[in-house]
Amino acid sequence: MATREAGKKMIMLKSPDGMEFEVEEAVAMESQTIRKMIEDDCADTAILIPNINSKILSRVIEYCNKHVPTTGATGAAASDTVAPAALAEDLKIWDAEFIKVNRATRFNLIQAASYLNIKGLLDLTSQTTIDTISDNSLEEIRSFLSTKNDYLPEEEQTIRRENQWAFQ
Amino acid sequence: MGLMALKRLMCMKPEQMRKHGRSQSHDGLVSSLARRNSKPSVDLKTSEASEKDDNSHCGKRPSYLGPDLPEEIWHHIHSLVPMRDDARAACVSRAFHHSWRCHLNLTFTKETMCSKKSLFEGTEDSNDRRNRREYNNNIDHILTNHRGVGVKTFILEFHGPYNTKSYNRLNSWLQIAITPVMEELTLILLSEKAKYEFPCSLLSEKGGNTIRHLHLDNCVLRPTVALNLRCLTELYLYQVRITGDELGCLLSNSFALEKLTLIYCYDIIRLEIPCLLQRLSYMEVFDCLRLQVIENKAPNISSFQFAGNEVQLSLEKSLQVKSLKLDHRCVISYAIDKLPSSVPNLERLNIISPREV
Repeated sequence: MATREAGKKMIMLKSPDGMEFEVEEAVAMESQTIRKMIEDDCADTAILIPNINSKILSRVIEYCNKHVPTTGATGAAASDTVAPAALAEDLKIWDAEFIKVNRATRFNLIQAASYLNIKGLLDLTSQTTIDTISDNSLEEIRSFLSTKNDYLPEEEQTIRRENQWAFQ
Repeated sequence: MGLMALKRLMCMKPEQMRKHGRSQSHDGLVSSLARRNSKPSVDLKTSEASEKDDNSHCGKRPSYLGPDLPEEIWHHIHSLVPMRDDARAACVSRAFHHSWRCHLNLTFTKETMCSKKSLFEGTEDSNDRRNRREYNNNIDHILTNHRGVGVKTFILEFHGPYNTKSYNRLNSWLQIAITPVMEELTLILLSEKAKYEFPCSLLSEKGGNTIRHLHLDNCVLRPTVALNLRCLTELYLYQVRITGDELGCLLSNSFALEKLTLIYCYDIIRLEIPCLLQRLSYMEVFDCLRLQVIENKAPNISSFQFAGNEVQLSLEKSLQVKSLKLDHRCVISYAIDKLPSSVPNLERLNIISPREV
């Protein structure tokens, strides 16, 4: 269902819950998975994105829209007038706002980024979890990630002893 | 993830996609937003309370509120957590322990493995020896648990003891670490007295064809057959015992090589860079003091740095060389005589000449 609108090639992405999103091809190709489908000529009708609901897909598209290079395929030329450092700073602030979501949404975004192979989005969405594991006590990690301690007491002691070097 | 992976996912049931830890009934990605709307509004919720709203959306209470990600994504995330933190987090739950055992990036240095209390300097002091033994035992334990998993990035500083028994242990570590997923291998033996022969057979038999970066310090490298390091982009050898012919053997299939560094490699007398190294653009050769001849046939070297004794330098096909740094005796007269014809496109020349006679 590829169409043309103002000289830009458009592509239709479809979520499993029946919603359709018309996006610029260049934006969709931020996903390496979709890029491969387009390059392999498998994308002449709407592309069904499995297992990613419309709410998450819309957020993924929002991310890709923001991160698509501003020159070249999309025709815009923002980087000609704005310094790269300022652009990068702007993106950083935008990313920080974008990722202010609850955990369920964040995990769904991580999954979506992984399936669609969007490295920047995967890095961004994973970072909070990486920081949570790095910066907190075991109890805090369990609490923040809603994970239960399923060790038997003696098992936990063994694992702790094995990894004693990491606690010193 | 490519097209095949997407197709695989399309056939996958939602419950197959979430297998980290325990069974779950969380609606996950396939929650039923049935309405059609071409421009859905995005609802940014930030509180845990609003997350409960998300879960109740499909009308059932989740029996499990744990991390809701497929195992492979958890492994990806855990592999980005600094190694020490991830080892500590192994005590969080069984699933975390499993992820730690699959940590793909292992860096064994004093900085990552030792606290202030367990630091050692490599002396024969009893505390020092105990701490070094503990360092080795911890590495041993971690790698034993990694058996069969594979490591992408493997960095190891080996602090001795430098004897056959330890070398056998080191061999067994490399045997576990080098698999067909390895991308970076850095092995640093900290003593110049080390006489460790790196097991080249592991590179030919197990993981050589995925390695991109290979960095070896203070060991002996004696490849006897042509290795298949076809993804290798960067080779760094520091005080490595290897001859010119053996280096040729090592690089015989390294068509992807971009950067080559040789420092204190005293066994090289003649260094021939074959023309098959089409991508090689950066080369540095420092203080390989027995070196007599450098013959470059790689056509795309743009930067070359050399320091050491005066050598017979042949850059016959080096039309691409733009940056050259030479540091040896009589280099000024050499530069005047030879460089205008051998490197006609040179843009930057840096020469250091200790003596001109």
